[in-house]
Amino acid sequence: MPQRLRDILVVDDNDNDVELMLLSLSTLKLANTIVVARDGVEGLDYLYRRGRFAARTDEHPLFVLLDLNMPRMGGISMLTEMRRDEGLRTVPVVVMTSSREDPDLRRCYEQGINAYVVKPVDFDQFSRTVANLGIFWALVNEPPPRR
Amino acid sequence: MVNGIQTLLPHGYCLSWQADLLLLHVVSDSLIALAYFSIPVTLWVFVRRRTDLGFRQIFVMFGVFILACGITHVMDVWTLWHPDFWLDGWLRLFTAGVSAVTAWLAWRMVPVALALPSPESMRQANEELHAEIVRRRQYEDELQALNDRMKLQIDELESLSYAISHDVRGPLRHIEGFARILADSSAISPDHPALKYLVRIRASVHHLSEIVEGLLAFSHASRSEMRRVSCDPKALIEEVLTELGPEMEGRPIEVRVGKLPAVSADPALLYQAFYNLLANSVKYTRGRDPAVISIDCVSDSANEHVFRIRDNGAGFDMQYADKLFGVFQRLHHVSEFEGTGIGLANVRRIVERHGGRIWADGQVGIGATFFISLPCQPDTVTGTAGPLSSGEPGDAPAFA
Repeated sequence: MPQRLRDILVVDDNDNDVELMLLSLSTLKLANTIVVARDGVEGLDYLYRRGRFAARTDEHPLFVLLDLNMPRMGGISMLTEMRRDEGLRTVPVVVMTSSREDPDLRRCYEQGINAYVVKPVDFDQFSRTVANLGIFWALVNEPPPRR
Repeated sequence: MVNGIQTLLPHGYCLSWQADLLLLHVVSDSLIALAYFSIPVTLWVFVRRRTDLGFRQIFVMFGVFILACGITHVMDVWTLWHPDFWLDGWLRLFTAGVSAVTAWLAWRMVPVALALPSPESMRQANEELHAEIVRRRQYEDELQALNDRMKLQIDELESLSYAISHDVRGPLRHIEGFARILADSSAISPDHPALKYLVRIRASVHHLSEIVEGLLAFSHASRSEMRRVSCDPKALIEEVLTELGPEMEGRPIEVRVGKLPAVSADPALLYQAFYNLLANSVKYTRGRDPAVISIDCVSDSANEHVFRIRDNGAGFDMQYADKLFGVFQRLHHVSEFEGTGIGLANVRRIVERHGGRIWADGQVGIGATFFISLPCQPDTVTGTAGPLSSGEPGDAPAFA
């Protein structure tokens, strides 16, 4: 029996960004479910199967698309929590943010992200960037073994 | 010659050996002698302890003089009973000599002693010094307070550009994205005028986005830490020309790069300065056949290098030259030449941070010439780095 495809977790508080991201990813026609969490707390709820994700039974996501500036818990705090956890340490995290200011970049890499992508203002570029990320992390990259 | 006259009589004889008169002389002379003998001792102790004392010679002479005076009084007592007037006389002669020398020395000392600061003037000077110290401390405190305020402002500027970077780019991206999606959607027929408006919306977003990027670069050029190394301007300019390749493609542009000396500068910032200047030249020579852009060093003195960037483009009216380097100041309409009005302000900020100057010369329709001077500071040169070298340890990524 084929195993269910892993989800792609998008953690972003901005409806517009989420919508543009989903639109860009939809062009790839990926079979994976794309789950949206609105901040770091919800993102961790999903990963730990808590709150509205309590009924979730499947495995860790294929990869996480993480925004940095979010209310309640930002991307870097969520990342720190994830990297502290034995089970979540290997989940690939791609930071997608508007900022390329030095401290963010450095802190993200110190916390062990797998990629850091600045969202381009131009939609064509944005769309291409998101699609490329989807192709790479969903199709090209070999994910860490299932636990 | 009568024998008796040759025999000297003791001094007491003159006083008729009156017991009370003798006693008066003996007591008085003895007290004077004792007092006189004590003074050299006091002087000796004083001079020994005050090691910083000047004019030691006069103290010695004064001690000997007083001692000699004391001895004459001892002799006065002695000669009351013993007529040793020859000895007494020689001792007085000695005293006279010492006194004369001391008196002469003391006279000579007067102008020197007058020039010495009095305790009162010393006290005043001391007070002034003290007041000066208090004033300096106040300045120091004020300076510290100003410094703290400046640091705070830099921090604020930093968080401001962080916020711009995060919060302004986002909405711009959304407007752009949705305008694009709308233009692509089938809801609008291809010949509908709304499509043009959507194109304008996107163009405006791109322009605004360029302004935001320009402001971020400007704030970065103002606050980023400077890392001065020896840079090769020629290599930097070659990098810039590569970067400008797409804009120059298919255009008849001739770029002449003269001999350029190495300068001590922050490579990332200097790159940005050259980039802005050359991008301007490329932009404002649009339509020229051929466009000629030249970069050379016109003055290579011991104090500063003056670089000249010249083009045969649209130029500018010298009447408005003072507006060239201000933020958001433009001398051309956007419809003629696109731009944000931040580029040259940025160049000026970078050049000034390096301790240099920027000025320009132009003529409408003939071309523009920009000069930047960079001071030579061989003492600050710590190493050699290529253009935009980012391989050094501890290097921060350079964002223009």
